[in-house]
Amino acid sequence: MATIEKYLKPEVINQIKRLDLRAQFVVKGFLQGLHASPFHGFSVEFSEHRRYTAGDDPKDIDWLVYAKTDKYYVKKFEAETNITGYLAMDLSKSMGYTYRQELSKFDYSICLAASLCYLMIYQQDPVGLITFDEQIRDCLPPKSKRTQLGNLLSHLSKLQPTGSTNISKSLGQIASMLRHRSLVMVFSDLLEDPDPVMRSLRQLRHGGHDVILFHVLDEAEVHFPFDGLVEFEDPETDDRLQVDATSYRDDYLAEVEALRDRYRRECSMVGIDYVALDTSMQFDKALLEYLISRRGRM
Amino acid sequence: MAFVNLSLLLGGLLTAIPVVLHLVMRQQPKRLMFPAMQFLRQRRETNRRKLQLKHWLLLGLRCGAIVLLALAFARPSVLSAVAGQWMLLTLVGVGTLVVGGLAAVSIVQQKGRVLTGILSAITLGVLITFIAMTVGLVNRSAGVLLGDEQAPVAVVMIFDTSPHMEYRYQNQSRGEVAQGMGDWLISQFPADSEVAILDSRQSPAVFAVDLASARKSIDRLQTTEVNQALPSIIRRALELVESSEKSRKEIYLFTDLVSGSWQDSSDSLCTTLEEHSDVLLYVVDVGVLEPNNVALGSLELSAETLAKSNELRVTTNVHSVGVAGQQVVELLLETSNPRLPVVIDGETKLPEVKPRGREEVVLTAGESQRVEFRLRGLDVGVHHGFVRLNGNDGLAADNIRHFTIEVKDAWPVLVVAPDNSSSSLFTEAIAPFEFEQTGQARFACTVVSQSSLANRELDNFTAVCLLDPEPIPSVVWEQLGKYVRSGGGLAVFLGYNAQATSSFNEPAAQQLLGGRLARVWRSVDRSLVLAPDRYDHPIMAQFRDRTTSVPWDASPVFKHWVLDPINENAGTIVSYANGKAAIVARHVGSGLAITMTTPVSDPLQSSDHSAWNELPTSDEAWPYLVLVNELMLHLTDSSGVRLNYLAGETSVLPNDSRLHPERYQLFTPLEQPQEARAREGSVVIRFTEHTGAYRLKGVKDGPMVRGFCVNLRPDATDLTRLTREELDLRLGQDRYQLARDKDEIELEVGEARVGREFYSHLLVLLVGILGIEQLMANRFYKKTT
Repeated sequence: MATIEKYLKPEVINQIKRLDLRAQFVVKGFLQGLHASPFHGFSVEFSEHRRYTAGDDPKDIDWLVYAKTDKYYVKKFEAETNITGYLAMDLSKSMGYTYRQELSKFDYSICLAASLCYLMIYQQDPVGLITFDEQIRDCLPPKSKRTQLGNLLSHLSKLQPTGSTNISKSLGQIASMLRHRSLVMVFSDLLEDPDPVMRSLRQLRHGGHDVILFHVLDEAEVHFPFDGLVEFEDPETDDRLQVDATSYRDDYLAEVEALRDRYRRECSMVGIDYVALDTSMQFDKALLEYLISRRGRM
Repeated sequence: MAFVNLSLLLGGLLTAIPVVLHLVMRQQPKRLMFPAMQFLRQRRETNRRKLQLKHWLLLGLRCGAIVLLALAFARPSVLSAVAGQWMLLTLVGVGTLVVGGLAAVSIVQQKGRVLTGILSAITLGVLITFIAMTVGLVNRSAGVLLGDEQAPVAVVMIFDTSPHMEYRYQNQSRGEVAQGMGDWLISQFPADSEVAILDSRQSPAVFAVDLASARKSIDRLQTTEVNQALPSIIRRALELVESSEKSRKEIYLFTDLVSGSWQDSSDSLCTTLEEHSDVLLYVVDVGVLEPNNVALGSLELSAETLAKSNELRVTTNVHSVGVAGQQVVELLLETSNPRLPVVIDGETKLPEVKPRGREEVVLTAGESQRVEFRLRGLDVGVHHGFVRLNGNDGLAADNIRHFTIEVKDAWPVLVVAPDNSSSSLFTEAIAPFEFEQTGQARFACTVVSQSSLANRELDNFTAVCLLDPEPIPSVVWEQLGKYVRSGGGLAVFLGYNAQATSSFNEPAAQQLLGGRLARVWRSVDRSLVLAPDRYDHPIMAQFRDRTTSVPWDASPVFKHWVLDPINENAGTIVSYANGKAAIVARHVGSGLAITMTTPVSDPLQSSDHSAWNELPTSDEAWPYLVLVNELMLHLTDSSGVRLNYLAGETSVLPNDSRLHPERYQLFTPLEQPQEARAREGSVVIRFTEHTGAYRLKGVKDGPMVRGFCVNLRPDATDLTRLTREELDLRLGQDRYQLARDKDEIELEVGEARVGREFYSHLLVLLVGILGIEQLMANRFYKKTT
């Protein structure tokens, strides 16, 4: 639980628990709560009862149970889940980079993933985890049990971002691996050629999956707070480059913005949510903001 | 360009330090892990060029700072005259660097071919200009010694001691101001300096033994009336200062810049100064910019030697500069006393001076008025007098002008007429009977017949007049020639009796006459008259003011002799209306011979011939009276001696041993009496430096006093100053330093000796470069936060 507490702070949960994560495609099954289904009334296997909470559709209230217990319960069915979430986590060495030595991109991504995981499990959606670097390394099958959150986070906490990465290849593998239409949440710094990455994303999207791309960069990578003569070393390739940081800042920032713009533009064209983040942003607020905007679009 | 500490320029070699540091101890960049390298790689090449440019700029700035520091400590200096051009050169140099830097940035950043091309072209152009200016300035500054201000120096100090330096302003004369400055300046000279003091006199130029004796020489300076022009003195000073072995040579000229001191007919001084370009020339202006002065002009005397009872006219101009108001001009005259001057108890007793005229004039500033005094009844003898301006003004030297005249008894004139001619018309014209009776006649006429001329002692007469002479024997012509050559005056009025021309055309006669007697011109009507076309001769002076109103046509000439040819050394004074000569004058020896080609004594009715003219007999005969009187005055005055001289001129008084003593006691205006001797018939006095009366006292049949006077040249007291442009014209622009007070002298001397130093400018530039270097270095090597 210590891991969960580390990544899932109560104040963050309080902020997001009233939100949900809707799939952008039409759900097949019937879902309690906010998941509206066109297959309303379709009989599926009953699974369990759940206490009615504000926001649930009153017509799902099991009046028989109410008669027996004088409390509102809603019926829950085995097949009610109509969205399966996958947290796709980039394990490359660059994800472990932090300039301030506080919160690496990987940690930031875990926090973000934990919140989303909590949110999905809270709304009874199964969530799985896929980690990748040059290829898929681990895969936890999606489950909606409450223990899934703990399992998932404890798994993530054991991982160390090392080695080089091949995002496009990994995403391609994910696309071919997923059988059902799922919500794929990708956490990566996308520090490689954007063309193959976009190609893989399109492939994923073409498979019918809903994709949210969390582009997580370090604060220093976004703001470039360096001055004077600096020799930079790439943690993944050990390449070195000596630059006059002061005069380079504008060029650098322009390049970063250009990359983000490109992803934003191309993702928008194929219906992928692109969320540009950096570690200086409070991830709860960033997530809240994103979720609100996503709900507004639905 | 020169350097005070040349060796410190070696400090410039320290520029190697930043280069070595740049190469060897290149600063290590801060090494950081950074994953987002792909963003950096995009513009890697551009950034690398920028980085290199910054490195080179920084290196250049640091090297520049060290060079500037070494240059500043070496204390470079240039001629003050070209300091502005050196500054301009520096600006062009900085401009070259700036434009060059921009061009380099443009090339590095690949700003575009057009911009890069333009900037490169401008850089090239400015660089060529910079090089050309540098070469020009180095050539111009070559040979000029600059350096330590305290090195011993060879100095010639020239003091203008002309009379106008006596001008007093704020209770100090210009000479005193110059002396004060000279004293002060000597105390400023480095020890072991050689100093020579020159004044306006033509005295030998030598260096003083030491500075103290030079100071004494300055204290002894006095105004001198006889002066050399300043350009000549500067030339002498150049020769002297160049003879010194001291490497630093300077000339100081203390003057009030009055133009009168700069008159020099010789070649331009500029060339000489250019040839001695190693000698620094300072002009110390002690003059007053707007002087106030009233001056007397030179005196004009109607005659220096005049007959007793003749009138003396003394005229002068009173000129005001910057002063308006009433001025009183007085004429004072000494009474003639042959026993004075005399030295009694060491003091010279002079004849009594009596005022003989007083005039008041009211002047406005810049105005000039003429003042005339008329004196009559002067006793026989030499008279000294002066005209003075009452009251005080800035310059006293031009408030008094001296004059000397000699009054003699009536001029003894021998009038020679043939027996058949009458001389009464002529003698009445020049010495009327009434005047003779009252002693007012200017001429004492002795009339003799031509036949007795050969027996007369001509030397007793001042002039001899031959009225309508008959043929004269050669012996007599020769006698007359000798008389004229020894200083006598001869007037020959040709007429009817000269028909036998052979006598007049013989060689002995032609030595005196104006020309060869060719023929008689006859006029049938009354149209032929005297028609003077010029009035510049003294004989015509009285007609000058009324040239058009003289009734010459009332006195027709019917006949006159035609001189053809006119002798080469004879000049026509008056002509007839037909263009032929009427009065011809020629100098023969010391005397003067005048020939008139028509008689002046023909009566209206003559027994044997008709009158040749109506000059003496016309109703309007006053022109005749004036003409013959002036002619005779001129004839007699020509034998007179010059008695009024200008300072510096050599005075020559004829000394006839029969009339004058051989030894004199000379009383000059200032000094004790001294002996003067007559040699070869004249007394020559060469030292006439001081203005005033010079008296020669001797004994010949009793005490006798002669004398003359000396005045300043009229331009010696003219206070008109030279303008800066005129001074540039004389000395050469930028060839001299001009100062008016001690501060300016210090500044100019400092600048000229050490030149204009660039120490402060270089330090400012150094601070600027260090500031830019600091700014760039801070920005460049800012620590990553």
